[in-house]
Amino acid sequence: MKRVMVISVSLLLAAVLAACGPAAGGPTTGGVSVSDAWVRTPPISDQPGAAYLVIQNNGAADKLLSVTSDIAQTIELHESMESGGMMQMSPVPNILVPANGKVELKPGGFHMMLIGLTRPLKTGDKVQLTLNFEKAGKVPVTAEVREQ
Amino acid sequence: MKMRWLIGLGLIGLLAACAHTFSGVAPNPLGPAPDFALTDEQGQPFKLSDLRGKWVLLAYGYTHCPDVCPLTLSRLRDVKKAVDANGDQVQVVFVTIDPERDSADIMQKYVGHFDNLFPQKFKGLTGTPAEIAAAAKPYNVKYEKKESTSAGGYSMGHTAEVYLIDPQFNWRMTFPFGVKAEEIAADLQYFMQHPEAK
Repeated sequence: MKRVMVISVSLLLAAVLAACGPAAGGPTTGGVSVSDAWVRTPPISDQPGAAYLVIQNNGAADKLLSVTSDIAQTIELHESMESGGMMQMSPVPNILVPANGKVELKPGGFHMMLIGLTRPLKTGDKVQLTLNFEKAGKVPVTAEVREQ
Repeated sequence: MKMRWLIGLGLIGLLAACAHTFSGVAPNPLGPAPDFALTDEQGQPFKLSDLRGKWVLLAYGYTHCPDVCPLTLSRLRDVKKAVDANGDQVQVVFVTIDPERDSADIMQKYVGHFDNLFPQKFKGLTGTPAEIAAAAKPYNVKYEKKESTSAGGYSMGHTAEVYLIDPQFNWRMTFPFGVKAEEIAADLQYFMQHPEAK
């Protein structure tokens, strides 16, 4: 009987701890959580690079306004899209994250363009990015440098 | 009764073995690949027809392109890895449509990032604006310079297809931008095993 009690209490504690910890998938601030952040290993280190991630929003609509990091002098939000049969890439002022929805920054679509890399990035490196949302404010995220 | 089932299953099996659904689109009509003369990543004169005897995967883009072009080249790296990792039968060729910024030296650094797994290196081609235009037109490659407010400078809009040329120097297939590495590899492998296939 005593043993059953101990197990029950342990399970309860584990459940409470699990509920307190950060949600699976990455840092959560407000309704916004960020996961799968990665930087493409730059083919040439003094040319623009690109970074990607997934933003999940469990709250009201929000906007990604800007991104900063010590790895690049400037980080711009860009979108690649097909227009007139050609792939075009343009800066966008912000990226809307719909209420209770998600946005994927992925190759061939929305991405962060890293301009003026401050150091060479190698596959396997971990780098810090800070995302700045209109409502959720600053959300820090760790991104892995990888080939694809 | 059982026999009929067996025959049926056997037929389905045979069909599955024969049918290959291509992901690429064959040019119509099929014919010789358009040739062009450019400068390679070593700064040497290079004609596309120098690659007669090999399967050629040809793509166009530019090195200041952080998103679409690395995606295309990493797909071609995956195709090479799957089909001919240690061989010299499949040659990847990347042609810049931004000769203003892409010198032979920069092309070497760029393709060198994607071919470092392989004994056979990728070709990275540049040239004068007129030479690039002449290399792009016969493959229906379109590109345009787009001034941008970006701190990264101007960007280039461009078609982002991949072209397959066979060892007899015929243009065999065009792969639209969205086609995945494994799909290109499957088409290429099929052609390599069935050279007569159309």
